[in-house]
Amino acid sequence: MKSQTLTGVLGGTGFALVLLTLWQGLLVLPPARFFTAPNAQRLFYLHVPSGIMAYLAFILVVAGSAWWLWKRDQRGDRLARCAAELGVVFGAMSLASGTFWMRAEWGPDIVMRFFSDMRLATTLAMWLLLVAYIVWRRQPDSEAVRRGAAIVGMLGVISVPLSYLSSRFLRSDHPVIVGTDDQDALAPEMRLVLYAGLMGFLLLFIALLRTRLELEQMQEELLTARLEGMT
Amino acid sequence: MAAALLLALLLLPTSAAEEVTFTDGNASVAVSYDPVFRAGEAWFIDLVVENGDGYTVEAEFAGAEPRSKKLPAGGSASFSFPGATFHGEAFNVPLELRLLHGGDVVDNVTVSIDVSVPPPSDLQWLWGGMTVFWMGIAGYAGWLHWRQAELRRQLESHIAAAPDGGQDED
Repeated sequence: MKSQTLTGVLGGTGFALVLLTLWQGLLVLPPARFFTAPNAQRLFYLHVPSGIMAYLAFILVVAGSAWWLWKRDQRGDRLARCAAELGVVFGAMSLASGTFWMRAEWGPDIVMRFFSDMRLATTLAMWLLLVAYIVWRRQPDSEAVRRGAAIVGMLGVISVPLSYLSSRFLRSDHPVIVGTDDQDALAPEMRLVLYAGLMGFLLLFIALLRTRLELEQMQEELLTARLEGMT
Repeated sequence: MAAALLLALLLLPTSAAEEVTFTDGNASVAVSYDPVFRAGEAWFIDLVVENGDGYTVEAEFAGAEPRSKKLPAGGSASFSFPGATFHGEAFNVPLELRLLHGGDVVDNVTVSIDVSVPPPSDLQWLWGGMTVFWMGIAGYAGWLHWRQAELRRQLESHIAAAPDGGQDED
């Protein structure tokens, strides 16, 4: 019960911070300069944090997979499995919000952008890898399935940095906001609201991951109880 | 009947043009304009002249540069204000219309117009993105909640169905 309370507090605080970010981003802050679609640009306060949470999820998939491959510890496998699901959810939200923003800012040629812009292409590839991981895990559980999933999960070692750095070093029109030397690219008050959103999303992510891990544990308990009942 | 009513409603003009007429002897100049100025779009004043020669129509919003048009002896003419004349919404903005002949004002009238700011077209993309976003996260959180309740119910019913009622043997 104590664990559930903590999850509730984390989730509630995260949700409140995201609402605060939305209020500031939609109603208080002025539209950003240098964008042809100043209203759609406000999607940025959700798009950036959800994208970073998708990266975080994939990093956890890599860590969990490596842990399982090295120690054969079930906790590593469980972490990778749950984080992959969250990665698909947050990645989908980031890709969807980015697509709406892109449609307003760059025009209707959406599909071709996913092939010609390296940030979009590598992020979509990263998301599809997470989808592949989830689909692979839909098979009946076995050592071989776990090993295969862990190997797919380890591909994040390449895909996460490739996606993150693609807009800096490869051909891309995607704006660079986080971790850039050009600190004037974003007004200080907008940066502050973005960081509040990032913190809110991080807390939401942790709360959802805890819930998902708890669910996995319950599922295993139920399976064990059923097996014991049969013997 | 309903279809005819709907068609009639659809065909209704959104804002009818308003008209004022200047007269000077035999000459008459009809000035028509849209009572709503849409910021960002050019705003036109149309003129129809009868038996006039050497007349000029001048229009001036308070605090803005006046615009004028030298009229032909007969027929129609028009001139416009640029869409950037106004940026924000405003109501009952006075517009002074003057008829001049030989540089002298022979007639004038002040009318009121409203300034409307149409919503930017990218708003639909903002709300589309927001809707997909929140449906995604709410759907996932809802599924987690439902699955958790379902598993808890299954675990409880399994424990209750156990021969010892879920009690440890020791």
